Amino acid sequence: MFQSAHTFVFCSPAKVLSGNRALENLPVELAGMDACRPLILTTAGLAVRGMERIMAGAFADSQLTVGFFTGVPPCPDRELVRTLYGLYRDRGYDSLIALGGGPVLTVAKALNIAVSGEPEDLEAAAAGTLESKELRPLTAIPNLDVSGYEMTRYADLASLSLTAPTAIPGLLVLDHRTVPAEDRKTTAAAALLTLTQAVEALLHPGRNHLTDAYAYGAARFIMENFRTALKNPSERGSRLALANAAFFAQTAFDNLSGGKIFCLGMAISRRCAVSPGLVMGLLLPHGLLMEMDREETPGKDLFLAVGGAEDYALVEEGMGLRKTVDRCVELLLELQSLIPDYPRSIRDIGLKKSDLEELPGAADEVTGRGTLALPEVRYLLDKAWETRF
Amino acid sequence: MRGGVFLALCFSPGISGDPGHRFGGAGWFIDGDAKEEDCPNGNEGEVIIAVMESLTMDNFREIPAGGKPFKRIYVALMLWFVGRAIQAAARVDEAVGEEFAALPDGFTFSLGVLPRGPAMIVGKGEEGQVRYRGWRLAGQRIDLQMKIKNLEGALLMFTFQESTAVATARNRLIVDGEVPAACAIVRILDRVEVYLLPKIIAKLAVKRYPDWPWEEKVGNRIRIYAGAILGFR
Amino acid sequence: MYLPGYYEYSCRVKIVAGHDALEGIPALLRHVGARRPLLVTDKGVAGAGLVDIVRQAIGDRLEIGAVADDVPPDSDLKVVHRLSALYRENGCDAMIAVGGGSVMDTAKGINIVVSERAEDLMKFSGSGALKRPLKPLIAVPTTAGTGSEVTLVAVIKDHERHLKMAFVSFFLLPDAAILDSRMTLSLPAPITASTGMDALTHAVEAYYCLSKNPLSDVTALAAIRLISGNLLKVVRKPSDREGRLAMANAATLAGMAFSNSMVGMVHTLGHATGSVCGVPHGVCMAILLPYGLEYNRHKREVVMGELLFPIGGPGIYGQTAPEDRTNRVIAYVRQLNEDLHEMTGGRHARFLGEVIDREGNPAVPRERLPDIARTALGDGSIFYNPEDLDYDDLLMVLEAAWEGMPLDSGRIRKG
Repeated sequence: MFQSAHTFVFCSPAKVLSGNRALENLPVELAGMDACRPLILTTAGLAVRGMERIMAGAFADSQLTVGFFTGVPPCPDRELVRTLYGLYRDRGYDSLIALGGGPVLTVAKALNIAVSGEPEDLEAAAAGTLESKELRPLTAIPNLDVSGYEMTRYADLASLSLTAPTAIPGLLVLDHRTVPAEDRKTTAAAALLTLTQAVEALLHPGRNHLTDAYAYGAARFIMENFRTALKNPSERGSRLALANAAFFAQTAFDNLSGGKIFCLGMAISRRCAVSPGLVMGLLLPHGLLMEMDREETPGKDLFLAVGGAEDYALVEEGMGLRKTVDRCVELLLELQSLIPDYPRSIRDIGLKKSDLEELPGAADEVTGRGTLALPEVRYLLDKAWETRF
Repeated sequence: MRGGVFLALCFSPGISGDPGHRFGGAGWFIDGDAKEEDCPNGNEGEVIIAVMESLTMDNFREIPAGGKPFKRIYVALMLWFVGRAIQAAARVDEAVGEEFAALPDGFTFSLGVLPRGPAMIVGKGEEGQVRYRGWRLAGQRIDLQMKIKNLEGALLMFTFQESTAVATARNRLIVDGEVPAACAIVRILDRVEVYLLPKIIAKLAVKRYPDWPWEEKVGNRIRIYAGAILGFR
Repeated sequence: MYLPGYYEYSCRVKIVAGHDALEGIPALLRHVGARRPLLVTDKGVAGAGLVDIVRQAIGDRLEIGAVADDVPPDSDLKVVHRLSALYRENGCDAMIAVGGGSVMDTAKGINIVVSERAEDLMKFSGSGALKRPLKPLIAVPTTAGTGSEVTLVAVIKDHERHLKMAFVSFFLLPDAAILDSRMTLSLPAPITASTGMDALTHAVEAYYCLSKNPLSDVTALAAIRLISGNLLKVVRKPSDREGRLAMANAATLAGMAFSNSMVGMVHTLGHATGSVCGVPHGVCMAILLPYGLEYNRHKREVVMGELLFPIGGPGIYGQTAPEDRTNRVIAYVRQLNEDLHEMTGGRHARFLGEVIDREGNPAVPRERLPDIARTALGDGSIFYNPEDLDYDDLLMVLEAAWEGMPLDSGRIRKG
């Protein structure tokens, strides 16, 4: 098993409640965090899907009154945070519940930083220098419309990117009622984005026993459940498994950093308005093939996560990475057969050849730390451009 | 001020147009009192109430906690019945009697639902007699409190979708008090459930369905039902 | 991978692990605004020079308010209050706990007293009494181990009133756990063996007991893989730094697993044996672990078979038919005990009848087994065991564990 040679640090601050009637535990969990007046933030789209009734039911019999705001847009900005700051303070709320995906979590994290201290703290969070004081309770109730950042320290408001470990939600609730069935493309995108985060965590030079454990769990849940989630979306267990996987992969990701597949996928997605997961799926096999050329690649452990113990036990020495690539390609082909107009190449999603020049730089900005080797990113891009699955 | 969403803004007549919302600037929103430093041009105390356009009655509301009356009644009835059945079982079943005998005199335990019931209380009197003591927790000294975290968790237990063991494993319960006593109470509850429920359901409620002689089981079952319904002491 | 109908998991302790993890302590404390910690430890740890190593690693980057090195082997209420006074007198604002389970529990107890200004610690017992974060606490385990650096439980004994108080709260968790290979390099072979088996038991029971969940599973599997690859190595060669670090990681991973997934019969009987006969926890765990597997296997056959992968390795796993895997897991555990027994010159006991106390007398007389069985009936872990356990079942297992004979599967009453 991989032994990191250096000292590692790992932290996962969230408590997770997952499964049947998980939402009904909210009142008692909030009480344990000394909170009794939560403000729920969500989107109009989710409100229309019955979330208000579900949350009302979860809090029924609790004697608590909750605020319910449904105006989070797809690209929230500071104005909204400002507005909600006033609402929060004026109405005397003492905790936040983010019901939804990336945009809702982004607003909630920023708002929580502002209401727990001062609005000026947002500037510190943008500079990555926010003090490590504990914030007010923030609960995340995400679904399968996954951005990859929900349970991480990152929040990207329009024109303000925040990095704050204390902003990671302290409570995560996964309940089949708030992880509704999505269309196949959304589900596939969630699975692929999560798989990418897990795979890159298992290949990351800074990986450790804990990120390996979380990434293993994520990859297993994806590989064992994506088929059912796509073909039989009413089946609750597989949807919940994917939602669990997203959390595990994001935790590993948060403790390491984005790899080239993730960052390039994000950069392309922002240009083409195609969901990042679908793009990452197209990049994944190429990214893995690039790893095969390295000397000390933990390819075998990777196949344990992607292939499972039974298959792994039968794989020959040195063949782990190759088998992983094969599995990923099989996955892509299967997705293509299940989803009409599934993209077969990054050439098919609105990308122009002239875009290729700037993309490596854009990918490096995703991680914001200059950690990517730009020539490698370019190579990956070129290979993906040449391929149609 | 409570019918909609209102935010207090402080601005001086000298500033026109945009009220100067800025991050990191001189304050942001002030609810209630305006502070002098937030009004740089000095109109201390002048507070104007305005409705922010982005907050409307359509996208914000407050949801008061409703109730679940029928579920509460069901759980209350089940707790009442189980409490009285325990009282009867303590007289009728030897093992239950022994478990109670090992507990101190005056020992009282409760099983209830957070945050405000329903609940049932069973206590051991000074002479060792086991009594159902009703549902009012206030004012009673209770040695062992078993609190189900919410009504839905109680419903899962009392519709036997989750056995006591599974409910415990799933953290549906908070136990406040001595753990050995809690172990005894759970064993008592398991035995009482075997008496009260038909085998097909009881097998879901307990880890290992016991192999009791048929006549004894049925005889005790009748006595416990009678005791629970008619309240024989 | 198994997804239960409902589960809960939390472990928000920051894990810092490496050959020079101790050097990170000043920055960690500064990060949470602390400047003057109380260092809590025991005489054994101090005597082994470990406190000196910690102080050297910290250097002059942090001022240690005071050092309390007289924590007894069993956490004690009076000690908690005395050390709380020491904390206050020295103007401390945080704690560093360097030691095993008792030191950790004592430090957690002190934290309640000093953070809540508690006159009567009893008021905070049970769960739910603590509502706010406590003072910063850094845990530096010196065994591999109990896993108490990541548990939200503290047990403090009131020896005067013969009471055992259990405190359960999210807020008891240390802020950080420092896993540094230097802390276990000098651990003697028999303790390395028993604490290693303690960690293995935590991981194995977490994997098959009733609160099993995905995160406790992945951490348990990682722990078992590390233990099976390193325990014998470090008993054979105590100075193996990589092996020691691997075991330290394994113990913490196992702690994360069992603190969320709970434990079962092995702990039920182990706690009782410790309580009635004074046998160290790890010794009980090692002896009883195979019995936990045997007793529960009819309810957990498939799950236990999965353990062959981390415990025996992928090759053995692939070659073994699924229906034989649990047998091999049980055999591996028994063999591990045999190997440890041999490598420690007979000091690692393989069955209860073999355990001797400090004076060299048998620690578990056969006549006391009924007492142990009765005490075990009051242990909370009994709830989480897959199969039901009554007095007769417990006694049957104890008898077999006393003699060192496998359980007769015909005598197990299956629910």
